[in-house]
Amino acid sequence: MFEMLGNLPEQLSSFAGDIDSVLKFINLLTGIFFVGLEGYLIYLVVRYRQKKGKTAKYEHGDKAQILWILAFTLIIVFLDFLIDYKGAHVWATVKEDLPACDMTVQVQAKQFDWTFVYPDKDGNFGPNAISSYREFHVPVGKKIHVVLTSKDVIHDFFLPEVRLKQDVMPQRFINEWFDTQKVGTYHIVCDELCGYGHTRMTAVLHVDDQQTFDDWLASKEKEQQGGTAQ
Amino acid sequence: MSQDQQGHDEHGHEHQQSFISHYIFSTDHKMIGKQFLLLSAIMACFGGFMAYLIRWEVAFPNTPAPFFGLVTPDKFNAIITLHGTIMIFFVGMPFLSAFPSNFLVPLMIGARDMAFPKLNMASFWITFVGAVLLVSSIFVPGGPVAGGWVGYPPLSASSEFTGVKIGAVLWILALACALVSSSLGGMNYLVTAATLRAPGMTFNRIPMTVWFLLASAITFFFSAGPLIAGAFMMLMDNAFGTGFFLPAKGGEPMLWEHLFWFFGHPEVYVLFFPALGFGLDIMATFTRKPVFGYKLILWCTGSAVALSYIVWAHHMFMSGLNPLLATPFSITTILISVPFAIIIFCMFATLRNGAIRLELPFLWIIGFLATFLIGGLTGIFLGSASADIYLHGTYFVVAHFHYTLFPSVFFGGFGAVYYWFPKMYGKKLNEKLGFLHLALTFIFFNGTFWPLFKVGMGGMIRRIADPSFYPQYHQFQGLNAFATVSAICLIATQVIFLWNLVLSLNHGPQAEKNPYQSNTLEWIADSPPPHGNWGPVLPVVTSDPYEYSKPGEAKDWQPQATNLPV
Repeated sequence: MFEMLGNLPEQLSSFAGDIDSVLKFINLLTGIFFVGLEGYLIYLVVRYRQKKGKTAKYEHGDKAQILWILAFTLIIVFLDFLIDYKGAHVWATVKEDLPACDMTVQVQAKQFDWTFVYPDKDGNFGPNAISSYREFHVPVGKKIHVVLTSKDVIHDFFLPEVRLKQDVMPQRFINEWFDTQKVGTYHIVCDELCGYGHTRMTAVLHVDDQQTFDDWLASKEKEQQGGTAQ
Repeated sequence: MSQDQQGHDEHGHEHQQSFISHYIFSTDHKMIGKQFLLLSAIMACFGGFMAYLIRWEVAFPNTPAPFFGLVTPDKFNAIITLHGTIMIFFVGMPFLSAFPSNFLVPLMIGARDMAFPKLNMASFWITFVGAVLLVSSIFVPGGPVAGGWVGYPPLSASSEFTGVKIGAVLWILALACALVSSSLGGMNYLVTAATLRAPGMTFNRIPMTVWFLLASAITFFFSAGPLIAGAFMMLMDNAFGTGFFLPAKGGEPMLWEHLFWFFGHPEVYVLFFPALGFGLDIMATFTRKPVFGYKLILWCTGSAVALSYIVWAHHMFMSGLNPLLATPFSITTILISVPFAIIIFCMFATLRNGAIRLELPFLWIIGFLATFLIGGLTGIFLGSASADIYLHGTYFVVAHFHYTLFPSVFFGGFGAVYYWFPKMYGKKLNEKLGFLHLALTFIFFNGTFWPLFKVGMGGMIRRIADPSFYPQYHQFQGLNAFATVSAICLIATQVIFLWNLVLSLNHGPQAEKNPYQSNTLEWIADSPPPHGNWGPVLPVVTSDPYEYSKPGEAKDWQPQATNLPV
């Protein structure tokens, strides 16, 4: 309502624009109803205030009047369904259909950290998998499959610029996906109260070009192997 | 069985009561109603102070809050948890359900008291014990519970994750007291309305306030059971190390989410229904018109009660629930808007063609409608699963539910207090102070929560103790500070009401029996009504509750009973 959407963060994923268009559509409809209904309420109170010599009309609601109310309600129901109809494909894209992705990353949440685990060269999350602490690097333009899991309590994986949000449940593995359209650094926050350190449970989403990403992953791998060799 | 045979014969004549049996362990429904009112006011002071601390910390992080000190993250988490629990269970429930149900149901149906006066007394004292337990949890080792008012496990199910043990157990026990008390009370209101109506008070002649209080009681009744079971499991997990909600012990946290929201969503209507009921009665009186569509409204209320049990999962779109479930729950959510839309339109139609007296209780109800509308409309954003992907867990949600609960509890509740105050205490409240209270409450309420829609749309998440840690939220500091200053003013505004209360009780003019020329039975009783409400003779109801401005009549109102002097 009223230029509220101006605060939306930039659109990073391919579906961010779709989610925003649902927000805009609802904003438009509710904005119209807000102005109309508040205006009508004020009109009624002012127009029908008590005046000398005028009495109220004795009416309980005859059929014709009630039909008006039902018709108006039907319009609202129709618009409600229209909103859901418009939103259904967005929901299906983001939450229901997992597309073929370019890479899989495991996102492990615990009080009060994020760890991002990349598969080893054979695509396994075994002992050679590469862990990154609080830094989530992804190659730009690629579809990323994330597997969310928590080691303790419920957390929530929220990427505002991507417009992706999902609770992270203990001992469950929840599949989500997203893509990115622009190189840069973006925000990751925990959006479920998870305890004392919740307020600082953030991470950084680095969207790199492919070369930078490969270099980063290689260096991370080296660092880890060096660490284990010692 | 006539009610004079129900053990109320002793009320027919005046008899002396000791201070304790009159003011403390009273079985008189009116005194119990006032006790609930007082309890909710005291608890609102705690809840309001916590609201101030939350707002202070969000707007001015890491600076000591005046009258408190630094709101550290552990304190912040505890404060948001207690604020929610107190406001819902120890302010909203007593203020909107227990107080008016106790005070008004017997008076409006022409009974001498509740069906079970002692159970009624028990229901108050159980709430009182719950309130004491909750407040005392602030002072126990480990501090009060800090897992959020929704109490999601595993965080809330084991001290391993928060370091809070005694506080968590006390919190669950307090919650249990509130649930038991409301169940006992609700049963009492239902039985009273079913069996103790005055002669002639047929179902079609029951005032809307009573109908909606009963709808509220029924809605609570059938949603609380699962949560009581859930609370028991939560208590076992916390106190005795079971693992109902702990995955590490084979438990399932999502079970709690279902049980909680199966109760939590209907609870919104438990608090909304009474406000609608007051609104309709107050509107009829001050528009001098019958309520538009009396039966239609009742049918809508019935279907809303039924639908309220099948919408809960729209709180859980992001929980890891099977995404295919979003569609059915979106549809039920749309469907439940139908009866409420019709009820609101019937209220609009009641205003139309009226001869509106712009008196104070009426204006509170207009404030209720004007603000609740915003709560309803912004609910459409959150009911859309795809929009919820972005908005869930942000300040948009905070703003939305405060725009539903605050109008019900504050504007609806204060409408009722201003309207029935002369009946309760036999004194009139000061009108000028009342208008000032209303105007400032309206301005500062909107000033507090409107900016939060914008902040939430910007992606700022709720429940973080230190926004200064998030550079992306620094741009909202101005809006947050504005909201915080408004919130402080909103809280300060309530002092006007307290001042009015003290002033009017001591020096206010004596109230007449029926200051608004209203029809319903409570206005036939003395102000305040004596123990037993009516003299030796019960009112005999001969007409509908809202026969205002009937053509051809000398006066524009028609009391429901004419066998007693008005």
